[in-house]
Amino acid sequence: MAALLECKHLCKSFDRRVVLDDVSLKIDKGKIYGLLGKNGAGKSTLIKLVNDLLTIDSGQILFKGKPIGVSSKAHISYLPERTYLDKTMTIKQAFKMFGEFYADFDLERARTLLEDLDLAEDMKISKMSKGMQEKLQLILVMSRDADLYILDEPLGGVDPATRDHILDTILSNFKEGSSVIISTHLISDVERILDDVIFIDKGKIALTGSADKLRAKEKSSIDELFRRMFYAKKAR
Amino acid sequence: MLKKLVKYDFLWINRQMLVFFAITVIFAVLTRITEGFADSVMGEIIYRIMRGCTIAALVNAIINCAIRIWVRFRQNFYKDEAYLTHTLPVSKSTLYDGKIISSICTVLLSVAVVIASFFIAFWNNDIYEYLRNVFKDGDMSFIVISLFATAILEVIYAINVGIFSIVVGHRSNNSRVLISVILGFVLYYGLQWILLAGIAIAGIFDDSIQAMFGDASNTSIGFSTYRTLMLITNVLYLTLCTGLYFGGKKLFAKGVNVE
Repeated sequence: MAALLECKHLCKSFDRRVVLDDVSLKIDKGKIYGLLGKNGAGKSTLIKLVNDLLTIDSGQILFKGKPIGVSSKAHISYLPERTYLDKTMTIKQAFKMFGEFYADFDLERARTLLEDLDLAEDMKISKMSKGMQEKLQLILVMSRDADLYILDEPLGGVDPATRDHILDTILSNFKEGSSVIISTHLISDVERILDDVIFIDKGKIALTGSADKLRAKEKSSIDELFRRMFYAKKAR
Repeated sequence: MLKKLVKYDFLWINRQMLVFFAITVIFAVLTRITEGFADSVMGEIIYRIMRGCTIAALVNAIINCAIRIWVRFRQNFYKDEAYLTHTLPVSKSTLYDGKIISSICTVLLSVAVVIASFFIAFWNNDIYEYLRNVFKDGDMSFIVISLFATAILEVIYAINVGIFSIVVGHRSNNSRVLISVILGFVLYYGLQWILLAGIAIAGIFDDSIQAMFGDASNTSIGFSTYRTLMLITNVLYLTLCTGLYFGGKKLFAKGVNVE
């Protein structure tokens, strides 16, 4: 069976600094992946390449067997680290805009999520705090019936108490049979929901595999394994 | 999709521009009204102030329009909002076309406001007679319309230079804004020289155009010379705009590196 997303020998440099070096990976249907690495490991660059926000130096990215482009964008729902909404809009206008551009946007689901996360449609985005804007973006992204959800640091700007709520929102709203990639360095927070993990370090894929198998094999949590792999190495 | 992109862009740019347009028209009306009081010293002072404000508002309507278009282009394609723009299910070419179409619509609206305000505030028989003297025996409606057409093309050309420079500047990894600004100025003036050279070359084949380059004191132009001049200028402007549009679009379609 063809992979949902496949990266082949991806390389990306900024000036002479290599950020991704020959990265190859496959994302299958129906799984939740954790893209895990320290800050500056190359997680966001990889995600930006998949979302056509950066040009590829060499290599190839395929979505359902075809190079990324307009059709892949219609089926990938992406939550970036940044707040990307036009601040002059209200939430209602943002919903309208998503509905106009994305055929898979579910307005009813968006309204339900809005209520769950204590936001109101008439709120102006410019008047909302950064945390509230991030919640709104999560609502917009999770209200799509996409085949692949890519969430870049979805827990970055929220307090620990809200993190579980956000993870539950993600878990209960993604379309059945679709896949999720969660990029984060807050591994202990997301560990419980991951099927597979991808460790990335210094622009290279350091380890990939099933979260359960890794836990059983290493007799430790993914968080501990991550710390052992990247921080113990340094200590030695 | 293109229609939706144009709609959102046009609304964003003109939401604030509407305030400036309203101010421009109000000053134009006030200029016309206070012109009637210019017999007294106080009336003259007020009239002159209103006239100055109207001229400033007219210039502002055009400059502000260009700046808002460039700012929107950069924000949408290279800054935080780019994370949404480039992940919309739309090709890069369509994104670029959307920006150019909304820019042209905005320029047309701004120029329409400027023309209307100019007529409200300043148009009178003296200007009409002056133009008649400069362009001997000319069809006045053709003269006015062609002057405004050239003005519109000039603004569209300037905006295209800015957009092209932003695209080129943002292909670099460092000093993107600085490169965009420097390239913008160099391109704008460089291409203006090419335009002037084009007119000078036309002078080789047309003695009346040649005379304009030879005698600076010659302020009266025959209508046929004016018509030829306008035709050459507008064709050159259109060529430059088309070249910048296709050049910018081609570079943009190759991909972006969002900050």
